Amino acid sequence: MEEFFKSGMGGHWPVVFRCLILLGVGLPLLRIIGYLLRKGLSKRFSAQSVMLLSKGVIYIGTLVIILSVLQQTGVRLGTLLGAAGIAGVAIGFAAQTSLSNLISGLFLIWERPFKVGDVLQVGTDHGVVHSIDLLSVQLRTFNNQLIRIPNATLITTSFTNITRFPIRRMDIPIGVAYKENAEQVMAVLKDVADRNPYCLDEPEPVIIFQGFGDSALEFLFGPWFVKTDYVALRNSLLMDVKKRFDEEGIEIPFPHRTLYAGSASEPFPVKVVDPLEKGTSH
Amino acid sequence: MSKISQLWDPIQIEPAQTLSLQLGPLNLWVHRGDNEWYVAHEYELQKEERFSIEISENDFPQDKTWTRWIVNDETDSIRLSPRLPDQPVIVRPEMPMSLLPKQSVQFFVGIPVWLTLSFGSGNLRSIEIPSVTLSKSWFGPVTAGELCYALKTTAKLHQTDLLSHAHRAVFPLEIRNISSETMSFERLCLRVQFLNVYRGKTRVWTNKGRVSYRGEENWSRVVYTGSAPEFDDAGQLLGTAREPVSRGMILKTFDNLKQLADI
Repeated sequence: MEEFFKSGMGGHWPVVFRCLILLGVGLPLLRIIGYLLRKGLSKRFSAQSVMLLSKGVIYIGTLVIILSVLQQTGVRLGTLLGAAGIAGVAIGFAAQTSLSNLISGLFLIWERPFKVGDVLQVGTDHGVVHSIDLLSVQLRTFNNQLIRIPNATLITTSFTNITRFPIRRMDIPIGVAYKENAEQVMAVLKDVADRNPYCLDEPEPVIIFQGFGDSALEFLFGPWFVKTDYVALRNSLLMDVKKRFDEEGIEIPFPHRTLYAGSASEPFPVKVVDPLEKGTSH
Repeated sequence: MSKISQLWDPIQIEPAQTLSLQLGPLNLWVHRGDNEWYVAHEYELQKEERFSIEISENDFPQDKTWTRWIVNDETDSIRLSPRLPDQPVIVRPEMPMSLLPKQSVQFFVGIPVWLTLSFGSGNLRSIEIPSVTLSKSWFGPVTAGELCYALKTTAKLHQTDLLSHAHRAVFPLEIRNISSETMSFERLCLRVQFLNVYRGKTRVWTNKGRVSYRGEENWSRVVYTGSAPEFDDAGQLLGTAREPVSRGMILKTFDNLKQLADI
């Protein structure tokens, strides 16, 4: 290689040309192959597998092109690979975290707890799975930000795949005033679910009288819905419940507290002061 | 135009005229403008038995949510065609029903149609409008079932008992219990995407279907005929099935049939 540079470019134009051809044709060709793989296999395999395969082809292909270019320029690959082996040990120590993520990524791909397009909740973060890479998973939040979560984190912590199954239940806690008839409330909630086009008829909505709260009789209202209808159902259902409760005269109470001093003691003395009287006294 | 059967013929509309159609709960307006058409629709609940159609001059209700359709200026007519819903329909009889061994029964099930609006003689399809907003339902396990529409209807035993619902196509369904056990069912999943719609004298019809129940442990067998039923002089094909009767259909049907054992 030293000779290559010492002798100047004059005698090495064929080598330079071959290197440029390798880089100029090989790299764009790899991109095209990656694109064709993604397009051709997207219907047969999961988006995750297709992404992994196309990236694998691009990475390996790039490595092969770089090695070919080095070989063209006279670099002895045997020596280089030997040096790379020694360096690999050092790099391995330095890149423990990355290796951990890489192996975790392989486990995630094998286990397939989610796929591109699923909605995940990881700790306080949630968003749509944007890509699953060898080192990390990228989530696109609902306000269009990108969160990168290392694969090792996903392997060691629990997360929720919200859209794994085609239908879900929307659990809405509802409180009504103590004076209301619990049976009527349950019947009204059932009717609201029946009339809402986004609520599934089957499985039947869950309506549970949960208990006696501080300020209200507490119910759990849980209609089932198709996962894509979340926003439409949430908006329409809450409005429907409020409207029907208003029509039926069912009160949704705000939290309130009654102070009671007990029967043995005298009530707190309360005196209403006339503001005018208060003002004149000073 | 007063007869429901005439609704499916081409309807001539002059510039600045508006067609108003009331079909069951559906209100549909089609207005012809200059080189373009406007379409709007909305629903009125609890209006099952309505049918009226009229064409008026310079009546363009502004308070509707209109969509615009640009077509050639020679286009002077529209055509409405009935089709069945785009997903299976789960029919729930009024009360649980049982069929004794070796018995069969003929049901007539009214299924709301979707209206396909086409422009001109070339039948340029524009939009499909459901005559009723059906609520959704789920057939099968919550982890891997199938999205359907829910239809609360009374499956009638006699043709004469059918109500005059212009927006419903009648599906003649025969259920045979060829097993030695009593067949009980509360709901039935109908794969309406395999059914054509035919013009009858007083209403629209679908091709006939037959379910053979072979016991709880076995898959039932479903057969859809490919021709018009013999009722009500049904004959002319008005709306084609969304999915043709094919080998693929048989596979899907078997998937369905396994579930039918639970009906």
